[in-house]
Amino acid sequence: MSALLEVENLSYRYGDRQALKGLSFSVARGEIFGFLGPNGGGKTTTFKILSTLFSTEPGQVRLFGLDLSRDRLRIREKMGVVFQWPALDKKLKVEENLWHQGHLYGLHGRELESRIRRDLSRLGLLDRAKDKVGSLSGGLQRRVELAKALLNNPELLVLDEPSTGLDPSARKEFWAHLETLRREAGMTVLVTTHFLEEADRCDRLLILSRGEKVALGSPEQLKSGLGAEVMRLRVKDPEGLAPLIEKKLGVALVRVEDLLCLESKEAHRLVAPLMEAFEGQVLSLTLGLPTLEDVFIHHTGRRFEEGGSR
Amino acid sequence: MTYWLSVYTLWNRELVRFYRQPSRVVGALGTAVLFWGVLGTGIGGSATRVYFFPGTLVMSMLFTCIFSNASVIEDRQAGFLQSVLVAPVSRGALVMGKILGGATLAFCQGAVLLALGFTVGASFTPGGLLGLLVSLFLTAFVLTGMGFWLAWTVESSPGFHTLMNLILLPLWMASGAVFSAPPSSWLGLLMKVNPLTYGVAAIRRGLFPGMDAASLPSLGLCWAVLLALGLGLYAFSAFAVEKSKIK
Repeated sequence: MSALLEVENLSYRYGDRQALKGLSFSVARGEIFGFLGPNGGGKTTTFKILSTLFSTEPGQVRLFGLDLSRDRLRIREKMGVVFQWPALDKKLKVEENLWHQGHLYGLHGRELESRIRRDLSRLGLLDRAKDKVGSLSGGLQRRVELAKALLNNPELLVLDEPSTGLDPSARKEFWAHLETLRREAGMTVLVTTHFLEEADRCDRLLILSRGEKVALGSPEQLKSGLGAEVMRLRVKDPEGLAPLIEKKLGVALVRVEDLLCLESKEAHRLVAPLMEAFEGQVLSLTLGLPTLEDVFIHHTGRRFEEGGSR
Repeated sequence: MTYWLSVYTLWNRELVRFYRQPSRVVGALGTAVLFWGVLGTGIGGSATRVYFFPGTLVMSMLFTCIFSNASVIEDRQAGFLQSVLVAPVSRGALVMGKILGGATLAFCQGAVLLALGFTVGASFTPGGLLGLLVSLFLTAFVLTGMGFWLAWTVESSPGFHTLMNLILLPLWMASGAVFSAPPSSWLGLLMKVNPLTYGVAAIRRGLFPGMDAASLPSLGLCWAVLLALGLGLYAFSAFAVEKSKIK
C-alpha cells in the first residue's frame, strides 16, 4: 500500500500557545486513520491543517503526492470534508444543499443530479431530499453532511469529531456508513475523535496529548503493548497507601490522579490478598484487559477525561 | 467556468434564504417607509419628504446589506461557508457571490421603493430609469462590499453590529441624505470624501433631474467613484478572506 498522506515535523502555534509539536506520521491508501485525544490535545488543529484551512509551516504535508502548502486547489478537488459544526444551510432543502456543493466542485446539470441521487440513496436519504435541513434530526443532518462530502468522488474523507452531539445509535449508524464507503469505494478516512469506542473502530490510531504524538498503531497493537491485565484501584489515601501496597504485594503501582494502576499478566491473583490486607481502605477495584484509556494513561500518566483538557 | 458557477450558486443561495424569511422583507421595506414618512412629515412637510426620498432609498438598502452580511460571521465559523472554504474555489468567487447576492437583494428593494417616488413628484424617462437602476445597483454593491469586508474582519456578531452603527450610519448621515452642507465647511469636505455621497447624489439626479443639479457631483463622476470603490472593496475582501484563518 502506498502512502496517501505523509506528514513531517508538523507544528502549529496560536499566539504563544503551542498547539502542535513536531508531528510526523503517514497514512496508507484505504485506511481509516484516527486522531484520538482529549479536548485541547491538538486534534482540531491537525484537522484544520489537513483540510487546507491552516498553513502547514513549519513542517511538510504531502497529500496524494502533492505539497499541501502549494497545491491547495488540486488537493481540495480530491478531498471531502465533514466539519464538527454542520456546514449545512438549515433554511435550504437537503437536495439544495447538495446542489450548491456540487457547483462549488464544478459539477452541474444531469451529472450533478445523478450524483445527488446516488449519494442520497447511498445514505438512505432519498425520501428526505425535499425536506429543509433544519427539520431533520442531528443524526440525519450528519448523514446529509456526509452525502455532501461525497459528491466530488473524493479519494480522501477528512472528518472532525463527526459524532459530536449524536446519540449512540446514530453514532453507530454513521460509522457503519463510513466503513461501507471504505470497503466499497476504497476511500481513505481521517477522523478525529475523543470517543474511545469510536477510536477502537479505526485501523490505526495516533494518540495526541498536549499537541504531541503519544502513541501510534492499531488499537490492538497499542493495547497489547501493555501488560495482559490492568488493575485500577480507588483507595482512601492514595499517596499514603501506594508504598504500603507495593511493599506488601511486591509490585510497582502507577499513580494517576486519584487512581492507582497496575499492569501485569498476573494481576488477577493479587485481588484477594490485596482486599484482605487492606480491608476497608479500597473503595473500588476494577480488573480487565487493557482499553485505549489505559493506553493513554500508560503513555501520559494522565487520565483521558481530565488529562489533557485545558 | 468554476468561478462563475460558484458565484452563481452563492448568489442564488442569498436570494433563496431571503425569500424564505418573510420577516426580513417586511422589516427592510417597512423601516424605510416609516422613517421617510414620519421624519419627513415631522420635520418639515412635503418639501422635506422630497428631499429625504433618495436618502431613504439608500438607507433601506443599507439595512438589507447589513443583514445579508451579519450571517457571514456565523456562517464561516459554524455553517455553510466552512465547506466553501475547503472547496476548490477561488476566494474571489466566494466574495463576488456573497456581495452580488446581497447587492441584488438591496437593489430589488430599492427598485420597489422607486415607485413611491411618484407620490412626491419624481419623473423620469425610460433612459433616465435605466440610469437610475445603474445607480441603485452600484450603490448596493458598494454598501454590501463594505458590509462584507467589515463582517469578515470582525469576529463576533455584536462587534459587527457596533461597527456598522459606528461607521455606516454616520456615513449615511453625512452623504447628503438628510441635509446638505456648504462645500467649504468641514462637513462639506467630509461629504465630498464620503463615498456614499456619490450614491445618494446619483439617485437624487435620477429621481429629480434638474433639482439641485449645480451643487451635486456629475452622474459620470458618481458612477466612476462607485465603480472604483466597489471593485476596490471586492479586491480588499478577497484578500482578507485569503489571509484569514477560520477559528
